Amino acid sequence: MPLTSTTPATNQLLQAPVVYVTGKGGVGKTTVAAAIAFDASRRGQRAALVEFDDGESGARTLGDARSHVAHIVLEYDKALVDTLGSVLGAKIIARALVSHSALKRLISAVPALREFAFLDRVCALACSQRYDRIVVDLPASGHALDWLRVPNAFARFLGRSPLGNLGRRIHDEVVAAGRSEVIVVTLAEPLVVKETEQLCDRLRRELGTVPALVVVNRVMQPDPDGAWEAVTSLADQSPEIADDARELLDILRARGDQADDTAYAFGLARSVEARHVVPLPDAPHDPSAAQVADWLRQEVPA
Amino acid sequence: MSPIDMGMEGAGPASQPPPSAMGTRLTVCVGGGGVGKTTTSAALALSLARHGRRTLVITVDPARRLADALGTEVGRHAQPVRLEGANGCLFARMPDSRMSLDDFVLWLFEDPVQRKRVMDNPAYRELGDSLAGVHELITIGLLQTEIDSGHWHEVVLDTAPSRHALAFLTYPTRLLGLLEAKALSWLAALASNADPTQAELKPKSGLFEWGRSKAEAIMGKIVGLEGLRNLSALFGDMVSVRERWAGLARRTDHMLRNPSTRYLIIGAPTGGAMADAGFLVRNLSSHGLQPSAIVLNRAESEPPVCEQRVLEAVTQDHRGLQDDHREALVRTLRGMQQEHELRGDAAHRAIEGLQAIAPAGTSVIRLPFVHRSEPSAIVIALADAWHASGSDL
Repeated sequence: MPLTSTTPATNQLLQAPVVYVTGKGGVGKTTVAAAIAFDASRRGQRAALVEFDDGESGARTLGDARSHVAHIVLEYDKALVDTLGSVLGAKIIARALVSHSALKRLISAVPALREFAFLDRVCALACSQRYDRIVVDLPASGHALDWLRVPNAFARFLGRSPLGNLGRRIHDEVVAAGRSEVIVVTLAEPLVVKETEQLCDRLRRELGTVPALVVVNRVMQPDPDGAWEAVTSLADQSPEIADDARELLDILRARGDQADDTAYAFGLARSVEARHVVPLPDAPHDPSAAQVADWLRQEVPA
Repeated sequence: MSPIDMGMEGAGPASQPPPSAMGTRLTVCVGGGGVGKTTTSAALALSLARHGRRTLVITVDPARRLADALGTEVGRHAQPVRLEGANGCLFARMPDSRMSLDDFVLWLFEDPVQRKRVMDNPAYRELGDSLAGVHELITIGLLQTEIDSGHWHEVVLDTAPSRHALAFLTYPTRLLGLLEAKALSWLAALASNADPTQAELKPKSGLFEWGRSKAEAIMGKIVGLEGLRNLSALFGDMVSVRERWAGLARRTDHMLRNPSTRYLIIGAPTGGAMADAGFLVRNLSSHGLQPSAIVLNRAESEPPVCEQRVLEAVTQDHRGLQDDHREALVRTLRGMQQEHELRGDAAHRAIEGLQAIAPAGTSVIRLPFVHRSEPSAIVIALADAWHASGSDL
């Protein structure tokens, strides 16, 4: 797919160099992250998609777009050696520390060290100047805030020590407002929206930010007008069709409820003052990053 | 006193004798994100309760989804769930994570001086929530207590929506390994040097071949002296209650390997969910376990009969309907038909994939896409569908 000509660094949708994509498991978070990265590359930006531990879902969603987007999979052991190495001034010492069997278990129990090391690697990527847009696909089971508060927590807890100072630096480079943005992916389902609400609330309280974008995924098209009236009319008719019609009414009502749920999701997004709210359609098969990027383009003015 | 106790208000009569005579059966539900695991776990629990089994459903998921699905509240005790047919046999337990961490510390440390020291430790305050596996440990503690109580015929555990959901099963054992590591004793000894009340934790001679001072210097360089002191103190306190960890590890292992404990993998016909299901099958196998069944959601075999019958009725004969209404209905029904077909194809592919990866003879239970938005209505519909599938609970 040909790249478009270079556009100015800031596009309408995103403004910060690091974008964290968050949302509960199964909402299509990785697909949206891959799409954002691909869309950035189409606008002439050097884009990276960052995942942790297992890059299988990112690879699957990127598909052909992999040739345009740097797919970076961060693995914990290596990230830890890199991070400790930068603190100690030598990777050799870090490697020795981490591979020592007794110390290894100790290190693995240090709270939040995993999140810290990963964010340090994101910081290194940002500082390398190799990318204009770094899209981070945060793990589904984690809570975005539990990640993003770690560098500052380390800074507070470890004071002026090398690791504490590093925490401050990581926060300033890749977490602070202006340096990073958060995209929240949700579904038009009450349970998922509630969880999204809690997340946005914490974002505001703990980081003092609002989501740059809320994506409401798998939005179903409403049924054509008139179907409901037709079935209601059938339910008044002779018994052989009335029972089926009434059952069908229940189904149509539930489908109609989904339209309400979508409205609720949008209402939520507006109430948390997200910069943009975008619906993405329900697709019969898992859509690719390129397809989702096209949908995003349609929804957000270029 | 540990707050892990239970209120049994609202308990109705069970139609079977108390569990102590029969033992408590544990069902662990695992699955990737977005497959409907929480609602399916609740549906299983409801089905069991409908059979008169006194059932507790526990979720590790801190997002309150289960509470909402069952119309109940987060609480420190098992809460009764009043859903159609439950008849007082169904209860839910949903730990609140911050409160539970403090509860867990209360359970772990009986000495109030030690407890206060832990809770005041900056390492605990800042990062306690992030301590690897802490939510999972809390759930295990809770699970253990409920099973030991003998109150329940059935306990259904809804795990985190992740392919790594099983990792929590091994936490007590891994932590025990950590607590028994020489390095930790060394670290605890550092704390004892600083705190005279911990004098009994003096290091043994020849503890650490590296040379204690060298390792101390490196750790001090990384985290700073203050950080080192706080971390040491925290680990020192954990080491001192090593026996409690050991007990927890042993009993958890026993519970998970009990022949009556069963593992259900919950999936849906999407690429991500099937990849997660495959991962979980291999993960279970690496522990010497296998799934007793795989539940495939959104995978109805037949579309609802009413849709086909109404479509036939209005295509054969206009039935006195306004033309535009009739057309809208036909378009809607054809669209729904197509949705069913696509889901059916996806389900078919998913089942083929599952047959390739799951141990021979693993049954696959197909549950339908439920056309309801109200979570408790979804739970009831799934329970009805489970019953209709005829599969053994």
